Amino acid sequence: MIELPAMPIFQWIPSFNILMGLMWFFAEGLCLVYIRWAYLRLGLPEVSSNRSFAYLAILVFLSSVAIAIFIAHITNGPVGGRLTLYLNSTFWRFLCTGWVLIEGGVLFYVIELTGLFPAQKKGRLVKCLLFTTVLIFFAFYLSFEYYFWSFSFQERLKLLQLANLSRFFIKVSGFMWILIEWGVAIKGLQFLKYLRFEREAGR
Amino acid sequence: MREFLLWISRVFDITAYLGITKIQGLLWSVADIVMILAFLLVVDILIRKQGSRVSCWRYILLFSTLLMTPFLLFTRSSKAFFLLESAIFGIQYLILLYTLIKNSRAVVKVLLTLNPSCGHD
Repeated sequence: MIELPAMPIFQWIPSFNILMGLMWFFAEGLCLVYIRWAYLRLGLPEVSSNRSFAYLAILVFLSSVAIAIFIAHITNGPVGGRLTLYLNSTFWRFLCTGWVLIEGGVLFYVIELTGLFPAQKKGRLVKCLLFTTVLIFFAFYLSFEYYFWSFSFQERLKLLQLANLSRFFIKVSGFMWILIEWGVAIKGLQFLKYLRFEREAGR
Repeated sequence: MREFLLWISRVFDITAYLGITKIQGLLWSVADIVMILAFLLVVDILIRKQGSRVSCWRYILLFSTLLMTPFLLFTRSSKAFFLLESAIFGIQYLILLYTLIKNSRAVVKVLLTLNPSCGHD
């Protein structure tokens, strides 16, 4: 029987889930950079540089990729199931929280951008609600991570129970995505209605 | 919160997870479709002022994700759900990113002419 040589390079490749998650992280981050650029160009031309924000976004994304590769290397090696679950699920929750923050940022800039046009609401109440909700979610994320860490290494919970707990957090994040994405969709429809009205008025 | 999380770890099993995921997946996929459709229509209205338009294949691709979305309800495992969701999101994000990269400069230019109180070019 021919034995294939060990391919250490595969140890560095993250799982399909993580790769997809990173792709969505990149795509949403790029949307945020674009929408912020458009808002600055239209609303604040005197401070219209978006470059430092774009560099920050690139830095966060590349750091996330590096962390994903590092985790893949550790968890593909001979480590216990508890550490593997902890690292993989913590990184996934980090991505989930990142999506909530990025989408929150997109909704904020969509409200700001559409608010520059006549007959478009400034959306102060929505922005206030958005800020409060995202802040509460982020506080929940931090405290969740604290408890998850303590449960993981005190061996108080079994692996299956830890997985259940992590899945629960993902569902809370899912609720946030739905809320924010519908917010962006509704703002988009309102702006579309305004543009159609302007077109019919011949402006 | 500690006791609440301990209770969740006992009761929130894979069945509950998959059930909620299907409903959530449906809700956020439809939200994405509405959001991207509104975005494409806004871009189309704006770039028509410059004599160009959004090509119909972007709408066709978006429509294909609408056809795929109900199948989320019939997935039997979280792996199958994730694969289908990846296909749906993959297409949607490609449309979104392609449109942003291709049309954003033209869109901002037209928006500046629509509202002179906005910045200057």
